Amino acid sequence: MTTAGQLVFSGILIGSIYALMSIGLTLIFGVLRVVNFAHGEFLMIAMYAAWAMTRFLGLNAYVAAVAIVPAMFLFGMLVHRLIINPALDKPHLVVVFATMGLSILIQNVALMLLSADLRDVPPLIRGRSWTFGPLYAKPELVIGFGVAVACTLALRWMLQATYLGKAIRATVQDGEAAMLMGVPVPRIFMITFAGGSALVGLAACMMMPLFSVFPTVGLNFVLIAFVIVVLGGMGSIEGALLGGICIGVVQSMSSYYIAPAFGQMFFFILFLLVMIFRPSGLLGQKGTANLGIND
Amino acid sequence: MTTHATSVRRGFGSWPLLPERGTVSVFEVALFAACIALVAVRLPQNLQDVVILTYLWAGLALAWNLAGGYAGLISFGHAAFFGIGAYTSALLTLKLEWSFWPALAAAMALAGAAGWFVGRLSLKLRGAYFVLVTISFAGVISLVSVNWIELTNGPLGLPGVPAPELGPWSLRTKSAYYYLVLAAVALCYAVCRRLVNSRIGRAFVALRENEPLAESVGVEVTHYLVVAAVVSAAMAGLGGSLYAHYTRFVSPEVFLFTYTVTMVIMVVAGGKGTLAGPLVGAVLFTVLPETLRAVASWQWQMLAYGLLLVLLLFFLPRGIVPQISAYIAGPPRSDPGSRAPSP
Repeated sequence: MTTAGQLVFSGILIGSIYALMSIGLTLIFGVLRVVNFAHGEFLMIAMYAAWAMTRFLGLNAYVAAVAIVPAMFLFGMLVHRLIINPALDKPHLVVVFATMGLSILIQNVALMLLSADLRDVPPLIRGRSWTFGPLYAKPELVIGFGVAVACTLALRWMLQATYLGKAIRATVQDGEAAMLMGVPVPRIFMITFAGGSALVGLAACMMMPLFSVFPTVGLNFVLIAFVIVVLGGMGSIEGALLGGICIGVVQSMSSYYIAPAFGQMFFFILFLLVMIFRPSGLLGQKGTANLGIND
Repeated sequence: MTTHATSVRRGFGSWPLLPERGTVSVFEVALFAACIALVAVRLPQNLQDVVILTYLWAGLALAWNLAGGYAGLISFGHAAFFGIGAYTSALLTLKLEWSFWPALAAAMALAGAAGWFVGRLSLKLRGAYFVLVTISFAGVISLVSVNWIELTNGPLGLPGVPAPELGPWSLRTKSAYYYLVLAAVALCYAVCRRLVNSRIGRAFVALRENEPLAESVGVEVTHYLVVAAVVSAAMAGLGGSLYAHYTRFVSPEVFLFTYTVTMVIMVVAGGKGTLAGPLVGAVLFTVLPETLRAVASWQWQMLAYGLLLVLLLFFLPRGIVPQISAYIAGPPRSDPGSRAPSP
């Protein structure tokens, strides 16, 4: 019983970090209706940045976030300006090809510039776990959990209460009407895309103390992110948190009770099953899966 | 004049130099004759290799084009069908000692069955969702090939795949294999051409252009999309089988994402939804990397593909062949039957 409890607890913590990584993807999808296939590569860039700042400037990954999050925001603006925005008024599949091309490009630039070696940062708090009653957790996991929940709540509040959030929601409901009401829709798109990139930058800083970084790290995590986003319903932020926690628990249970080697295959199969039986996700609205048609 | 009328009637995506359906154009005959003649001039071994690979890629690009270019099913998992074909053929000839031809047929059948499965999945999924499903499918298959060691020998692969035999002759030499692959590509091309110029091909294009409209005039969506997926997958399986018996070695590398990306870039560069596009793309993207191999590593190639995929969309969105044929045909006329070229 304690083992199972511990597994669920660790799963929730790690799942919330996965959720943090996926929120940017779901936000961009929800507003721009664009699936950013280069999301994993954004994560990889930010993780390398966090690693470099720890290694060469002696900062820790959490402090590095102060610089990385704005930098990723700017990077997102740049990508939106150069690639996403020009592709938006073209047929839907152009964006798919464009982000896929960007993903291949970034990954191979990284493979050429940085070697394929795994890079880690030293743990922040050595050899000690925090205890919660009978349960144990790595401090980095608990911090990541806190940041993920805080981020979800803050984003939720931002969307509900601020002018920007209202403008984003208006754009989602009806872009043309929003534009007529004076909402600068192109700028909303840019802010959302850049914001999504900044969020993945934050996630990278939370993940750097827990995972190694290498040029194709994005491939492993983007898969988890896609499963989470689809499970939670494309475009739903609470859905992403819920989906992330589900995935985290399932992953920690399955790697303990079944072989961890099958973990990745398990993700693919889970993803296919969700796609077949519930393409709109746990909390998503019906019909979102059909959005790809002719738009 | 006839060419104009043809291009107007077929609309966007046709090759105006192609004549009415059923007849074979001078260009096609000339191309085929030139391909046969190529082997007569006794190319050096390494050039023969390049030509054979070009044909293999042309077949794969034609396969991808049928689903992706015509029916609008953008698959980023075609390496799965290619790999299924390669493994099926290799395993049947190695473990059960089947001869090449039935193994080839089985490879196509199994790849086609996988295509049917993916096509059925696509029942309600389009666009980016379909892309994700195909990537995941290819991921599952690739992991099976790595982990099911008793069957596939895992990452070590299966060496010693036998060379195909035709009656008493073994097609062991490069020039013999050359004809085999050429025949396979010609077959793929003929199948594509026949399909595309038929009611089925028109249904594909209708679904790609406007699915609700096509459905409303009675095009059975699932039926045609499954047909596109099955034929395309079987063709990729054919390519996989030929590849396995050509290199005589199969390993999980056949499932590499790179292979899928190469098919996609060939079709996107050559011209999606045209018959000549995949052929042009296959020639370009096999010959160029081979000639540049001395100066550039494999990673440069992938890097260039990524960059090209992005640049092509903005500067040559329709691909080389439609761009050239639009240039030859002159400016679009204000014919009610013709569609304005997309910007």
